[in-house]
Order: sequence, then structure tokens, then C-alpha cells
Amino acid sequence: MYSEATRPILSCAAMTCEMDSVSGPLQILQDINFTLAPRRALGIVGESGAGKSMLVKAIMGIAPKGLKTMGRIELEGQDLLALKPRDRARLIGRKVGIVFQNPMTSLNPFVQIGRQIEEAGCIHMGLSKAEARSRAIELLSFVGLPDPEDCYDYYPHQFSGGMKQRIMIAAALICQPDLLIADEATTALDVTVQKEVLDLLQTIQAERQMSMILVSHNLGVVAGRTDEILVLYGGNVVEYGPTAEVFRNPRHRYTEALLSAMPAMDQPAHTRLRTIPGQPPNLANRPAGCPFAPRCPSAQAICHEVMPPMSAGIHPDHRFACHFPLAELPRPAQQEVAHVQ
Amino acid sequence: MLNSAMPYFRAISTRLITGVLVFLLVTFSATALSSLAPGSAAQLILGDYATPEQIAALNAQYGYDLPVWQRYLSWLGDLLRGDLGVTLFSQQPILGVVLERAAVTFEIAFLAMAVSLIGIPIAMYTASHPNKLGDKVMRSISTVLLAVPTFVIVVLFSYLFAMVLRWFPATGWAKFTENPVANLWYVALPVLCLSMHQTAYLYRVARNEFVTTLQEDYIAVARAKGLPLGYILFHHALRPAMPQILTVMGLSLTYMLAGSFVVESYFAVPGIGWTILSAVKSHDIPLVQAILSLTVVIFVIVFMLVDLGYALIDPRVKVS
Repeated sequence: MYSEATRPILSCAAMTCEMDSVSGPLQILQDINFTLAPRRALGIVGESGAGKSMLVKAIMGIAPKGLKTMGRIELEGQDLLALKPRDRARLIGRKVGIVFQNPMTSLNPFVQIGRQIEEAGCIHMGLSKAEARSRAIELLSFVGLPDPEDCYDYYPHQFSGGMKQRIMIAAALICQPDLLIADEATTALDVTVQKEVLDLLQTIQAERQMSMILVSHNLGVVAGRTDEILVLYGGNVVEYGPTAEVFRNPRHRYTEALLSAMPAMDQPAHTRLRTIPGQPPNLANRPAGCPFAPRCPSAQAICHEVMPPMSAGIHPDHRFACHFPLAELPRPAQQEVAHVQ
Repeated sequence: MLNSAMPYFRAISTRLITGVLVFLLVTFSATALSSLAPGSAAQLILGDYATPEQIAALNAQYGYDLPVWQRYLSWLGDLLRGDLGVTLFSQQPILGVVLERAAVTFEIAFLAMAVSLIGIPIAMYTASHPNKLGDKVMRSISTVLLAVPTFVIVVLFSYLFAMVLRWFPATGWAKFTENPVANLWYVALPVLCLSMHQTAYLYRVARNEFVTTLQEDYIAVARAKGLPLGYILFHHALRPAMPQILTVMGLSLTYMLAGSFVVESYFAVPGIGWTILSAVKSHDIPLVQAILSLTVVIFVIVFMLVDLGYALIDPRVKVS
């Protein structure tokens, strides 16, 4: 049993998601395990179709109809899958704030933004009109909107993309959640605005002492902003560990390939980036063994037949699913933080 | 305040100008139509056995032998003076007849409109529970209602409600100003029959509109916020679906005003549809023209209101 202070905010155990299709049930996510402690930040990375967004949606209970979630998802010790959908929605609305990928379509164009920020507070916390308004305005100025008093009555089309995403963040914070999820929250923004919004998220997480999940296909986004990182590939966790450790010493060959596909500052101009040949696995036709095996340069016969179990590295929290992991680097004398971006 | 009202003022005035042009075009066509009929207009009115003297007398009184543009201008001049003339046969003042009959049709059309609004909440419910039993049942019912023509509905309903159940009278009329209760009793069946198509149509459009709206990202956000379904439907889905619904309501209203003659003739309701039908049959040209003018005015006003409605509903629509 955990004590109040160390009880994880969120934990997933043996979580599997299935979707019915014409060719039988599709395993969208397989055997996901992770825990997120209070005030920690978790990065979830993977390429398109790896199941990142589906994982978030399954946790939030807003997955498309027909998706069956099995296993155990606990939010502050409360088993979400055991709750009635209505109670679960209420609990999540109260405890978890979420910022989605596209700020252009995430705000209702017909509703004043003040209302969109405060509504969850009115419903979950019974805020009065005046309280809700003052809190919404406070949040608007907190996320950095000029003239929050006036903005309250504006409609979404009167703001730019970056501003809209700030408004979404304000709306996610109204119930003072314990966990903030940013699902590709900066992908649709241009690069300078991306950094501003990411920095804002990081500041908020630190100031409000929340836990955070940063979902991104961009390793640079999670580097330096998260404590742990979860690498998804084809609906499986392939590597999971402290961010610095994973960046310094990736053990799974997919993680390593992802890392070397990133441009680095010290490369000379016009260096060709390394790419990963092949395509992400087709979930309808899943290989029996490691999902990465068909694209892996070091794959052996066993990789195509047997799913590699999760094994631990020297660092006890660093785990990866690979039959032939990369060599373990000697531990540096003192822990250093990877700076990748 | 004045600043925010200005665009509306301008939008209304431009639409009024267009409306006046449409009005002139339609009424002129109506005048011209009577000249297109074989023989002279007077011949048409008086029939095949009219004597030349009778025709000459009618021409002298109404000017049917004048060129179209002259007749039109004189009609327009009379209209501006508020004089629409008298009906050809009963010699009643046309203005009074038309207004009295129009009031009846308006009552039926607006009540039918009100009844058809029931389609919206049903659409909300079934769109948020797609492919469940309720959705399937409502979809089948609306398909049947749309497929059955009004003249069949009229017969079925009057048989069921007037003959078998005896809830409502099959024919007859009482003026609202004289006996409101009897008026509502008489009006019930015509309203019900007239509203069936509109309800089914409005329901189908609204359901599709809600289904589309419920797939929007901002609805996913609202769900992630843990907002109750009813709140999401009324606060996040209703307004985005309204422009489409409003369009259909505008079209329905004009359809009901112009197409109420089936219901009116069946139930012997003295409305405008029934009146224009008999006016056309008896070649009462002044009456036909007056009713056409009124219809144009109503259409222009309804579409103007629908346009303004868009601007009120959607903050992104700029009036003008």
C-alpha cells in the first residue's frame, strides 16, 4: 500500500485495448504498464499509429465507441474501469486536465471562451457565476493572455493558434487538477509558439505541483521536460525509464533509431538524417514476435517468433523489451541530465 | 450600442432593396401571365359564351385591353395608394379578404411549425445514442412520414382522429377572435397534418447535423472535461447545429404558407391556399395578384429573418 504522499497519481497495469474490426479484434494497445508519481512528468513518445493518443483517450474514457479497455487503470488509487461511465467522467473531469492537439478545433466556435474555461468548474466544483468568472480571468492572465477581462467575452475565432492553446490550458486548470495531460499539445503550432507553450506547461506543472503527461512524436519536446519516458511502438511499450537515462543510454533498438533520427546541433549542415526503413506494423496483421523486428537491423530469428519480455537495466527503473538490447554504457560518475534539444 | 446595430441596419436595408426588386419581378410576371393565356384576359374571365358587349364592359372597367406594362403600372399605383380593388365576383375589398384569409393560414402554419420543433429534441437524443433502438425507430418513422404525401396523411388522419376516435372535427372553422377554444379544436387536425412532413424533415436534418457536430473535437474536449451529456448537447451541440436547422425552418415555413392548400381544401379551412386555388379556378386576376404579392413579401421577410438568425447564432458570421 502506498502512503498519501507517494501514492501514484496514475497507474496502468496490464492495460490492453481492443477494437472490433472486420477481421476480428484488433489489439490497439498491448500490456501497458506504468506508474506516475505526484509532481512527476511522464513523456509518451512514438510515431504516428503507435497508440499514443489511443492510450490517452482510453485513460480518459473518451475512446471511440467499440474500444474495449482491459486491465487496470488507477487514478489516485481509484480503479477507473470499475466505475460507472458517468462517475468516471466526473472523476476524470475533476482530477485530470487535458490539452488536445489542435487548438483550432478544440474550442467551440459558438461559445465565449470565458464560458468554456469555467464550465467544468461550475459543474464539478459548484462554483458560482461570480467565482467562476474571477477564477477564469485569473487563469487567463496566468496563461499569459493580455487583457483577460476583455478576453473572457471573446469568441475563439478572435484568437491566434497559440493563444487558443493557452486558453485550452486555462480551461484544463479550472478544477485545479492533479494531473495535466498534453496530447501533442504543440504539434499544430509553429515552432516559436511551440516552445512558448511547452515552457508554459512546464512552469505550470512546477508551480501548481501537478503531475504531467506529455504526449509527443517529437523526442525533443519531452527531453528536459519530463522525468520519465515511455516509448510506444505498435501498441507496445518498448522502453520505459528515467528520461535522462533513456536518452543517454537507449537499450531498445527502436529508441536508439528514433534518437539518431533527430537532428543534432553539432552536425554539419546538410547531414542526412538517419531514417528507419519500413513502416509501422499493421495492427490487423501483427507479427508474432517483437513488433519492431521487421524493421530492425539486428533482428534474429527469435525476434520474429517470440515477444521479448520487459527486462531491467542496471538502473532499476529502466526497462526495455528487446532480445538483443544495445550494450549498457558505464554509468557516469554523477547523474547528468540529457540536453537534446 | 449604435455601432453594433449599424451592420444589422445595413444588412436589413440591402435585403429590403433586393426584396423590393423580387417583389416587382414577381408581381409583374403575375400581371403578364394573365395576358399570356389564349384569347384576351376578359375572355378568359367571362368564359366562352361571353358577348362582345360584356367583354367591352369588363375591359372598360379593368383595362384588360391595355398593354401589360400599363396595367402593371396602374396596379402598382393603386397598391401604393393602398387600394387593391375588389374581387371580381363577390365584389369584396381584396385587402380585407386577403388579410383575413392570410391570418388563418398564418395561424395554421405557425402552429404546425411549433409542433414540428418537437423534432429537435428527438434528434438530439437519437443523435447522441446513434444506432440504438430509439434512433432506428425514429429514423423509420420519419422515412415513412416523408414518403407519404400530405394528401394521403390528410385522409388517414381525418379518418383516424375524426371518424374513429372522434377527437377533432373533420371540417369546419371558428374564428379565433370569436371563439378561441373552438378555433383550436378546429385547427388541430389541419395543423397536425401539415406538420407531419415538416417534423420528419426537420428531425432528419437536425439528427444528421447533431451527429456531425458530436464528432467535432470540441465535443471530445467537453467529454474529457466530464461534462454531463445533457449539458454538452444543449451548450455545445445545439448552437453549431442551429444554422442548418434554421435554414430548414425557413424553408418549411414558406413551404407551409404556400403549400397549405391541400390541407385547407380538405378540411374546408378558409385560408390563403384555399382562396388562391379558387381564385385561379375562377380567373379572379386581381385576387390572384394580391395573394402572390403577399406571398412574395412573406418569403422575403422569412429569408431575411433566417439570414439575420445566422448572424445572431454564429459569432463568426459578419452581417452585411
